[in-house]
This record gives sequence, structure tokens and C-alpha cells, in this order.
Amino acid sequence: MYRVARDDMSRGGLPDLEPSVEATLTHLAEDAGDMFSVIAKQATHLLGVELAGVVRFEASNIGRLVGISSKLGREFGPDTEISLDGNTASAVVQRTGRSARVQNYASHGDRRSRYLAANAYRSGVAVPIYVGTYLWGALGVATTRDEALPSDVEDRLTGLAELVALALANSDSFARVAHQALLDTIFKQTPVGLGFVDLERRYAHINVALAEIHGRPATADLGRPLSEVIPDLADELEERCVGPALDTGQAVLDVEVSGETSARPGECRHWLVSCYPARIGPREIAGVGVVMLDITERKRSEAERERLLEAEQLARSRAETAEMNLERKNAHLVELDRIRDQLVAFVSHELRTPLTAIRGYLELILDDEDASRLSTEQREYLGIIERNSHRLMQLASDLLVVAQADAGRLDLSIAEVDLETVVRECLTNAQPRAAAADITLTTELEPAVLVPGDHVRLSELLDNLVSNAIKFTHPGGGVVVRVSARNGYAVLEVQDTGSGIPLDQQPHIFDRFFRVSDRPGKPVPGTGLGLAIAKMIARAHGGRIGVHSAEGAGANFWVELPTYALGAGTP
Amino acid sequence: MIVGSRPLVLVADDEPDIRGLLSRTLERAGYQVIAAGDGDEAFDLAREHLPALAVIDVVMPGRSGLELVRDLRRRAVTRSMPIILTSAHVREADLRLGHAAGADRYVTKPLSPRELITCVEGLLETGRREALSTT
Repeated sequence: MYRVARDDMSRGGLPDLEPSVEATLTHLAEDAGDMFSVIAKQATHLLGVELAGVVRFEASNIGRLVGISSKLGREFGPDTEISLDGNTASAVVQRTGRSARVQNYASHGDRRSRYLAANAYRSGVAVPIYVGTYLWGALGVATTRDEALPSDVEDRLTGLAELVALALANSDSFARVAHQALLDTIFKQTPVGLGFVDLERRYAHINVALAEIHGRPATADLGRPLSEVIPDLADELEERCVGPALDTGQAVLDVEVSGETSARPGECRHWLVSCYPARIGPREIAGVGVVMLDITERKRSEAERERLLEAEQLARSRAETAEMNLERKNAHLVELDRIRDQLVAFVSHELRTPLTAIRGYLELILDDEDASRLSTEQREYLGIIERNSHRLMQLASDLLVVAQADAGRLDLSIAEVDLETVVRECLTNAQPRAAAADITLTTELEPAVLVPGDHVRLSELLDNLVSNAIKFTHPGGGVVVRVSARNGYAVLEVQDTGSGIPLDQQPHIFDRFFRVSDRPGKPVPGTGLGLAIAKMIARAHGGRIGVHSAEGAGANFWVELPTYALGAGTP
Repeated sequence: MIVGSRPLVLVADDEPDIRGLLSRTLERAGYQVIAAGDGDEAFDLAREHLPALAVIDVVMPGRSGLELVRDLRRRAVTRSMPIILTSAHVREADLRLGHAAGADRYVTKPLSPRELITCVEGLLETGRREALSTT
């Protein structure tokens, strides 16, 4: 069971023991316990005594009974700690380092001697167990017989003690071998590249992981310099790790090394390398331990994270730039809007003064009591001038309304407005034009439809719708204006018998400057703002505007205006 | 103002063509007219001649139409004189400013001669009735 470890085993490793190294080490202590008991029993047989035991000295005055021939109460069981401060033979052995005899336990005062005496033991002998020069413990025997133990007992016991010492030495060697095997296993199986480089920078040890890093069997590279095994990495390793560790005698930690190995040619991999000087004795450095951890994947994910971060930052900065550009553009557009509004207001305002002069003097001419002096032709020309100056005036007004509506400040002078009044005024104004175009104007009015609104603006709205209707209605046709109230809204409708509006153009007719193309009608050009303004006025009143039209079946423009809220106090 | 004689109307406008139009319109309707090309001149003429009515443009160099109206309203002699403000400024806010300054009417350009005369006659008639009722 206890073999003497052969020298070659410690050097060559113990491949057959490897898997069970740990189990072996665990059993070793138990086996040793058995061994000491076996030796103790052997001693009783050899010496013809009743009791034998092996005591391991653990500290001064303290020992452990590691083996006993037979159990003797609680005091002398296997693996019991015993005090060695009395005058038992083993206690004397610990103090003197020499064999000791007890002639009569009963004559001793210590507890253990009394215990032995109480168990009928008369005398005993113990001899030291030396492992080398080290006083390891004692081997002792005791007898119940009255006659003294023979004089050769010490010698024979000493022979047994030497056997114990030999077994101990062997078991120590075995433990060392097993320990070595364990270290070997750890060395081989760890996923970290471990190597040992001697002073000539040659590999003295290479573990499996390091061999895998190299891409060659470990045996192929033992004894070869770094520069041959990993030419791509050797310079860096020697310069930054191995060299400094040897030069300074200090460990060099966490150096990042990158490059190719023959394991994965063409692929740049990364390692975290630490080196430590390995010492034999307190001073002499035997070489350098190398620890290589592959961090390629970590680097890749770091790089990936970095890349994503950069991409994100780039995207963010682009977005910020875009946002800034947008803000600049917005500010620019707002400024342009402001300039346009100002320009429109300015133009509209500046047009009024010359128009006042033109129209005023025209009126003076036409109203002159002596106007009969004018020829028919002259009157006709003046009429054309009057009509066109009127258009200019309308344009000036329309532009101003549009500019105000765009700026969100279309002035409304809100009062109670009776829509019937608005309709009658409007039709009175429109009647001459309708009559001239042979168009009949009719109304269908619900009485007392009142809305909160701006009388002037609402008149303008209706004027625009009616003018529009007259413009696009054929001679002999008709325009109907309706006012009704339903569901809290007043509804104003202007229906013509014109040619209608193509469906695809209907969504655009309220856009400014939009003109219905190929809508047959009198070639009466307008500003293109009439319907847009009608919509603005309707909106400013919180209302809506729209058109129902089938091509060829006329058009029905409708405006919905909120009436007074119920219970608001005004009828 | 002498009863039976033609009432005197002050016209203030920096635009010569408009000034001419207003003057001729009023003259043709039978009024006497004194005309000024800026606010300061108009103020002096008004205090000197005490016209029956004034037609004043809002935008003028020097004293503006609004300032002129305010100043005239501060003087006892012109406090109750009917004043028509004329302007190419057509927004609600402009109208309110005009009335706040003390104008009786605010007429936006382009203004028609007929409308102007209607407006002037209306104001003078009201003034006459009030004058009669207070005597």
C-alpha cells in the first residue's frame, strides 16, 4: 500500500494517477491512521504487551494519538488529543528526545498515568520517532504485568519507530508527488496560457492552453526560444514583459500584446500578458513565468461597442447639426414670412394713396355736371379705367387680408350679425352685375339666424362666394343664396348652375391664387384670392367652408359658422 | 361761423394730388377750403381760421394726424370741431387709435368723393342740431 516514490515519477509526472489525485490525497490521511494502528497492534504482538500507541507531537505538551492497538476508554481512542505535561513515557520523550520508561503508573500523579493505573497498567516504555532529524512523535507500549519490561524493549521499539519513520518519509514523498500531479493537472487544464521561460528566453514549460495559443504541440516547442515559437509576438513579449521582469526582478502585469500566431495565421489576436520572475532560493532568478490570457473576443466586443458608440455620436452630432440647420432655416423662414407680411402690408398701403387719387378724380369727372361734354367713347374708356382701378383696389384689400390672416391677426370686430342682413346687402350690390350677365339671384332664408361675427368680413366672405358664382354661371342660369340653422351652426350656401368643379381640383380651390382650369365661364379675371379669403374669414370665425360639386352640375359652396352657445345669454 | 355763408373746411394731407382731390371735392360741394401739407401748418391754420370741420390725413411729416387731432382737442377753440381722419391704414387697431385721439370719423383710403361729402354733411348737420338745441 505504501510504495516508495520513485525518482522518475516526480519528474515524468503520474499520468495514471492524474484523474484520482485528489481522491488519493484525501485517503492518504485515513490510510496513515490505519497504518499507525497496524504498527501499534504489531508492537503488542512483537513485544508481548497489552497496549501500544503512536503519538504525533503537535505542539509543546500536546500530542495526538494517531494510532492505538486497542481502544482504552475515552482517554486513549484513535485520533485523540492528549496532553503531554505529565510523566507518561511519551511526555518524557517529547521533553528529552530520548526513550523513556515508567516503572509504575500508580506512583505518578498525572491524570493520564492514574488513568492507566486505574486500568491495571503497571509500567510502560516510549521511544522517539525521528523523521530525519525531526522529532515527529513517539511510539509507546504499556503492560499490566507486574514484572518489568525486558531490557531490549527500547531497542525493539526503536526498530519499529524507524519503520514508522520510513513509512512517514515515504508517505511524505507520495504526498509531494500527488501534490505535483495536482499542480500538473491545474497547469495543464487551466484555460489560461501558462509558460515558463528560462534565462536564455527558451521555453522550459508550456501548458496546453499556451500550446494552443502557439498552435503547435507543447513538446515541439520546449527548449526553443520565444522568437522561434511565436516570431510575431516574441519581440513585444521580450521587450515589454519578459525583459523587464528579468531586469527589475518585479512582476510585470497586464501588458496587452497583439499579433499573429501559427495557430490562426492571418488573424490578429490579442492577449493580456503578465510575467513574474521565478526565484530559486531568496535571490537567484531561474526564469520567468508567463501568463497569457486571450482577450481577442473581449477586444472585439469592446471595439464593436466603441464603433457603435462612435456611430451613435456621429449620428447624434449629425442630428444636432441637422437640427441647427433646421433651426437656422426656420428662423430664416420666419424672417422671410415677416418680410413678406411687411411687404404685402406696405404694398397694400402704398397702393391706396394713388388709387384714391385715380378713383377720386375719375368720380369727379364722371359726376361733373358738365359730364355731358364727354363723348360716349370717352365715357366708355373712363368706365374701363374705373373697373380696373376697382380691381386694383380689391387686390390691395385682398393682399392685406391674406397677410393679416397668415400672421394670425385677421382683425375681427365681433358683434351680433344677422345673416339675412348680410345676404340682402350683398345681393343688392351684386344685382347689377348679375343682371348684366343675365343671371337670376334668389334667396332661401331662414329668419333670425344670428352669429357672433364681423359684419364687414362676413359680407366680404359672401361677396366673394357670390362674385365667384356669378363669374362661373352661364347666361340664363341662376345663383341661390341660402341661410339655415342646424345643430348650433349657421349654414350659408351659395349654389350656382355653372359647369361645376372637376373632382381632382376641388381640394385646391381654397388655395390662394388657384384658378379652376378649363372651367368654362366668362373671361373675368380675378385676384385668385377670393375663395382663399373666404376660407380665412370662415376660419377666423371658428367656422368651416367647403364645396359640393359634380362636374357639369353646378357648385354649392357652404359655410358653417358657430352660432351662440346655448345659454350664453344672447339670442 | 356766419350763418348763410359757406362753411370753412380745413384739409390736411401731405400728398398734393389727394389734397387737391379733397379740396376740389369740398369746393364743388359748396364749402370754402383751406389746405395744409403737414401737421404743423394745419395746426396753425386751424387756430387762425377756426374752420367748421377738418379733414386730416393720419400719416404726415412733422406733427402726425393723430398728434394734430390730440393737440386740437386740447385747445378750447377747436375742442368741439368735427374732425374726419383719413388713412390708408385700414386695420381695426388703426381705427381705434384714430377714435382714441379724438376723431369723429375714420375714413379709409381709397375714399370716394361722394362718401366724403356725405360724411362731412352728416357731421355738420349733427353739429348744427346740437348748437340749436343748446341755444
